[in-house]
Amino acid sequence: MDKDQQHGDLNRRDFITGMAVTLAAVGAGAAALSPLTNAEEIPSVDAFLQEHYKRLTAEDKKKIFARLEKKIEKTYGVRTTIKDPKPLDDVVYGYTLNIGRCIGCRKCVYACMKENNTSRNPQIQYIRVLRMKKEGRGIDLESADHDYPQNEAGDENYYYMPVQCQQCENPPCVKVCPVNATWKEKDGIVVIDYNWCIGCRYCEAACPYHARRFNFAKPQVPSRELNPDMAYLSNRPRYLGVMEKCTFCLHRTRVGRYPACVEACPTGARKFGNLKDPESEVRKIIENERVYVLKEELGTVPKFYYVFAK
Amino acid sequence: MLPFLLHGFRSVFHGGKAYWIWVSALLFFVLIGLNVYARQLAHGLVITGMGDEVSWGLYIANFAFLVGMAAAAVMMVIPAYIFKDKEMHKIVIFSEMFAVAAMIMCLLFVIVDLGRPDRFWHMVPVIGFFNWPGSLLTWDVIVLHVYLFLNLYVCAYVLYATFHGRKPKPLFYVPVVFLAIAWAPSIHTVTAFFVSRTWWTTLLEHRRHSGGKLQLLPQPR
Repeated sequence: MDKDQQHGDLNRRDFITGMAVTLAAVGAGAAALSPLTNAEEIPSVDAFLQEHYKRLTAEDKKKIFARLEKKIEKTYGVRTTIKDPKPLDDVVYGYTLNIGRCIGCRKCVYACMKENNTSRNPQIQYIRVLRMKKEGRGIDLESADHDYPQNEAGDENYYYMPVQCQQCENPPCVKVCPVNATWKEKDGIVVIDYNWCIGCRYCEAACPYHARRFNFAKPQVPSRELNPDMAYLSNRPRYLGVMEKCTFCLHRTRVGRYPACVEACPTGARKFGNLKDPESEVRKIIENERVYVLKEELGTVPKFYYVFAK
Repeated sequence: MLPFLLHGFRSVFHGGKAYWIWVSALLFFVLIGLNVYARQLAHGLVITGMGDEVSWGLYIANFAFLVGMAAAAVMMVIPAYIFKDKEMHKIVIFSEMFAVAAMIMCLLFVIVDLGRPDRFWHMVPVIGFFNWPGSLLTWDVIVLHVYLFLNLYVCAYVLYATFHGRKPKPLFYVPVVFLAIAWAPSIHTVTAFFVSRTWWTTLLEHRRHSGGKLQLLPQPR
């Protein structure tokens, strides 16, 4: 056997080994990827190519909303029209919450879930009610508990302090978003384009109020509980792997109704209105009562005021 | 160029027993990782055990770790080029390759951490909607990619020249090496900015009830 032939043999053997290894690797790779065959959500081509909300023309929106409505009808069997109410002129929404009145009943929490079509399994709640002992440290977030059992609500020895999106004037969540999927609207509401969010959860990490929620699993809402009154930027059904948050129920508030949490509150602790209107209830409360905002020192400038009053 | 690439491809399938055992062991773990990622794509990030309370976990921890590794790898080059240590030249190419590998892993960790990797194009400048310079994550994307390509270029050039039996011309790669050395501290800002923006509200404030939490380090009580 001369040297060249030996070389040829080696090459042939290499080639056969190489092919065998490649085939085995492809087979094993396919087996490893098999869970993808029962993926829970596969975006359509149109959804994949959809542009950012702010870059859509009226014509684009019409098409997209029609597609979403069709999808909702197919998934939930519910006919809806997706609305897109615009911010009103000369309106900046503000919220006041009277800690002296809140009894921690969590009615707002569940009304919000129902209104906003948030996932029921796993449960996504926009409002967390913190409970703090009145005696001792008083309003002290560090000693607060948000997991207290429902039957312990209404205890006079405790303060209850619901925390939700504070609709900051200077929102850190908007600043950190790498793709501009979240922004502050003219009326002060911070919204998310659920079709643009890439799910990096940077905003969730940046929010000092723990007000943002992520769909770690596919959101589940029973068809008969689906709220058909929905808007593109608020409570339409969400996707797996995107962020969502409180939008002050903009599908209601931009057409002159109260947010669901305000309506649900049995004690009247929650008030909502236009900060620009000097006659509004929230303006009167802010001007005349003892109010404060959460974590003022961070410079986020919340539009959600806590009140200590009767 | 083609013979160079072909040679590289062929040499992957060329090795002794120990090599194949090593490669099989690595492939085994690669397949496990692939399988778990496929499950994550199918069912969402819920399978990682993360939740709204702990919204960033091992993925981001590994990302931060590998950024450090990549920067450190290029620091190994300093003795060779700045202190003129001849012996260190031997490891330059290895540390550059290490930087490339670490950088690729780094970027992959970012991608697997995304809830919607299918929308990654939203992050590409011009065709996407890049929040520049507002978001520190966009800064990270730019810094990491530039660093990756600097190192990739140096590796590719040196290997290509060596493959053709030429001595690599310093003019074609030493300036890039210096640029990479200068760039290395900038990729440390990635971790710094990344973490500072998050811990701005968690470490300065208190751990609980203060927003998103990272469980990368033991948290103060």
